[in-house]
Amino acid sequence: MRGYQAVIGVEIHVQIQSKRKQFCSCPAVNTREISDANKFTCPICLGHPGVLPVLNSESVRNTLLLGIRLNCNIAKRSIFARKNYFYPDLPKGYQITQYHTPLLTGGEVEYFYEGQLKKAPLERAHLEEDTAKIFYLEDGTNFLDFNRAGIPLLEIVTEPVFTSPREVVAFLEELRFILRELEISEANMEEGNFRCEPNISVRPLGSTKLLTKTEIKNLNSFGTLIKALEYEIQRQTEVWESGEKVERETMRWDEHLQKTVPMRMKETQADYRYFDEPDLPPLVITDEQIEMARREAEKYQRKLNWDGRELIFPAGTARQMEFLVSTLFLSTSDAKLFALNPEYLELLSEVYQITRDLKETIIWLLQEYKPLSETLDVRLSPNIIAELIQIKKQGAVTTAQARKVLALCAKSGKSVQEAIEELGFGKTLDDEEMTRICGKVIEENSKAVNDIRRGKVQALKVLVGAVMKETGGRANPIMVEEKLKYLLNL
Amino acid sequence: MKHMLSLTAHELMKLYARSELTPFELFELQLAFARKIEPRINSFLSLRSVVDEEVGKVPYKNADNLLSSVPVSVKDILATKDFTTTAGSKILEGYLPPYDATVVSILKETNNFIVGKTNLDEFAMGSSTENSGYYPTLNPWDTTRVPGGSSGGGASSVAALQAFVGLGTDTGGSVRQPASFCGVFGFRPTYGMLSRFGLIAYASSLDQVGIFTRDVLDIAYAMNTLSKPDPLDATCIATGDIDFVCFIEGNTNTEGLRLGVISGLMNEQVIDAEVLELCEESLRILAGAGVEIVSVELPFIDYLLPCYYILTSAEASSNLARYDGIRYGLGVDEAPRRNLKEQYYEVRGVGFGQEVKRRILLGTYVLSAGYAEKYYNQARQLRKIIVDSIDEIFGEVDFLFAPTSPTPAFKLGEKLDDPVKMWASDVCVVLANLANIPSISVPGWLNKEALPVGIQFMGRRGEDARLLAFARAYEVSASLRFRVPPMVEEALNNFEY
Repeated sequence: MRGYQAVIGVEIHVQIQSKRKQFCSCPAVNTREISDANKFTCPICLGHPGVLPVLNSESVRNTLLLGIRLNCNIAKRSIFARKNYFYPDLPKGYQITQYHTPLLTGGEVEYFYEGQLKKAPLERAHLEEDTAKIFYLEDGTNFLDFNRAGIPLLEIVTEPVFTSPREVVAFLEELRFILRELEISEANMEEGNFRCEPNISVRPLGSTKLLTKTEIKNLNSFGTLIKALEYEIQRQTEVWESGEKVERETMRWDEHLQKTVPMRMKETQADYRYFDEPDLPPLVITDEQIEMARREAEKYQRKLNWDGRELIFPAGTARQMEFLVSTLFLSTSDAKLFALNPEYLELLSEVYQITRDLKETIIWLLQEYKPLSETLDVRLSPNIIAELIQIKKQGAVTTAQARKVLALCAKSGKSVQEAIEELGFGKTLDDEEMTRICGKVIEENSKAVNDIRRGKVQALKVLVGAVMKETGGRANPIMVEEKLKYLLNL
Repeated sequence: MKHMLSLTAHELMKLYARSELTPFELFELQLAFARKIEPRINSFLSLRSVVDEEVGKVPYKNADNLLSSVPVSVKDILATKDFTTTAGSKILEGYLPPYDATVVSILKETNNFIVGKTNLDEFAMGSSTENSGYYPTLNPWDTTRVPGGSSGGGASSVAALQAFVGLGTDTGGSVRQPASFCGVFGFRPTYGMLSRFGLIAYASSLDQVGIFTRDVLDIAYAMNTLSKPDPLDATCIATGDIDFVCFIEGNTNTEGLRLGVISGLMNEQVIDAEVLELCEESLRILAGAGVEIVSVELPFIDYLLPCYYILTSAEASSNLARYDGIRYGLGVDEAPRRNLKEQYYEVRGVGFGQEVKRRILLGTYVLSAGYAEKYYNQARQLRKIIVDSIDEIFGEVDFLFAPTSPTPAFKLGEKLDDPVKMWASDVCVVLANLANIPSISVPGWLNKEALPVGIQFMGRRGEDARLLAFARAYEVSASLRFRVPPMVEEALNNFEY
């Protein structure tokens, strides 16, 4: 692979969440059970003679929302076209799509990769309709399910800007997150509502010329996407190195062979005979619709009060990642947890506001509070968490004790003080009891005592630990150490 | 009573209103005669055998200027739940649509009686109804001649007293030309005035439902009934707020109106001399009614047919792609183990007729990479130019005039082997479709062989009511009266009921 660089672009077919199909009023529902096959169909989505399409306005609204979020140009007038080809999953013998005038052009998806904010420029995003689903049955027959036929689709096409499979995945994860957060799509790869088809070429390092690309279809997880791309980079590099030429073709990932293999139908050679769809008038977008989408996008912004400043993040994680990593110096993995979980980010800001100790606050939120809150499904106020962190820092309770206090607060709804009291922490032992217990520990740990006397001062910690254990954590370790020194005449 | 069958629909409704007969009586009579004469004409692909009590026993409702309780024939390219709908093609033999076309639903809601489904050239591709995948329809004026096409069965059914009103479709004259051949009125509204939902598409950007009647007023009644907004057709522009009947009755004056005669279509090289003579006669009558006759030149007249055939073939090649025998129609149940290619070849090879295949091939060719620029895109641009120039011409004149067809009805088989000759017979009618304007064929006079000859008026886009008012004024000035073809007259006289 030395000396070659991959150039990758992606086409993503996103099923747009909508009550209705793109051009008829059937419910837009993917088949879960085979017994539900062909339940959500009508003469229109079955392509009966004489039917006509009528555009679904909900999918247009969703697309405009995405267009605003990704800073795309929105076509004020876009035209639908017919893409003509024969296949049993295509009931009309053509797919209604957009060709010369996509609803969205340009724009970009910001994503956070290798510690920095990056931008993936988009070429276009256009509306179209999904095809039926073919099930290849074991007896050799094919079963057609038209529930999927006509489900609203948005095809998003990036510029070829990615250089590594992992970067592609970082981009796709962010796009998927944005689509979900804006409630535009469930964007679930396994369910087939987020289908990625990368196209890839390689070129000698330093060259700016694009060489022949191949397309890879039927990838159903990010894992296979990475494997397929890595394989294809290797394969193409070897082809060029051997003096041969890479063919322009459509490949699929073969899970058994663990390699990409050419698909039988060479789609790239097909002539789709596009022409304007005469059954649909041009889609005209008004300024009011754009304004509505803008207001809608604002609703999905995340506002964060950080140290008295109001920060505004658009839907998605990239800008928050940038803030957390570049400004607050969080580790990427910690930052990701906060960016993916808005409520923790808000807690972080509120708790930090009180504790002023970012490091401790992060540790307590992510390592202690988060798992606890998720298992018990309870939420604690930022004040409780902050109070606990502060009490612990003052040394009034140990870390182990603080953990128990937190758990009790979460379980019982008690305040920090109440919990500490109930657990008997932080109460200073009276001098008599302390003397008694320390004496007992000294007696029982003659080896450690001997070590100490021989000058091995660290062994004192063993005794402190034993006393703490004996007291059930009720003693202040500093005071215990003082007492032990006194009793041992140190 | 049997002579009521030659009335117009509005005359018939007057009889209902005066309780001189019930719809059920009339429907039974209508069906009996339609069935009797049918073997001599073949207007229908399916013809009702009995009057359904449910439909027939509904009393006449005197609705405001709507078509109601009238026997109507429907071209077999409009979807009907209760009749197979074949588009005249073997590929849809036995196909029973799961829904009604919007215009059909409206006819039913207004208690009209659908007599049957009329014959047509397969998928409306043709000008003689000889391209029907089943059998040709014969002209009731002369059964050795064609009724025109593609809505030939619709025109012949209204002429032969098998229905009072016929619904056809007009993509390139398919209502007006057969109306002219059969001596009835044929109206093609502005594109979008009638819903296309349920109209089996041939060329979607030009297809439009059209109406056959025995006078202009009946068209107005039909338009009042059928021209309604339709949420299922995104290209439907109907508002439903014009009363065509009232409009016509209130606009009878033709004084000072300007009628542009399309000189390129009044040319002896293109048009039969006798047809021209009859056209001149009509123009004299109009001039007598105060209409100013002017001549207009259309610079693009030679390009009308190529433009029309490129666009319609292109759209047809796509519209007809859905007939793969997988979900409905021919080949669904047969040989389920065929592979995909065999399925396509067999179903489409057997199911489509020659003319349809010709246009699919032509359309696929003109849309193909490398040829689209040369043919399809140029034809699109040309259509824009045609639309713009027609709009400009309508700044100068109120209406346009041309013959409906270069000749009267031609003989069966006369043009069947020469597609170009057949296509040329559309030269007078395609303008209205390309320019997207309303147009009506009005029966003129009979020629020396006693064949009807139609004349054509065209109006401004969306001014359908105004065009109908003008046609009505002409009808009155010329004292036109629906003429029953002699063969039908004789059959009616011998009809015992």
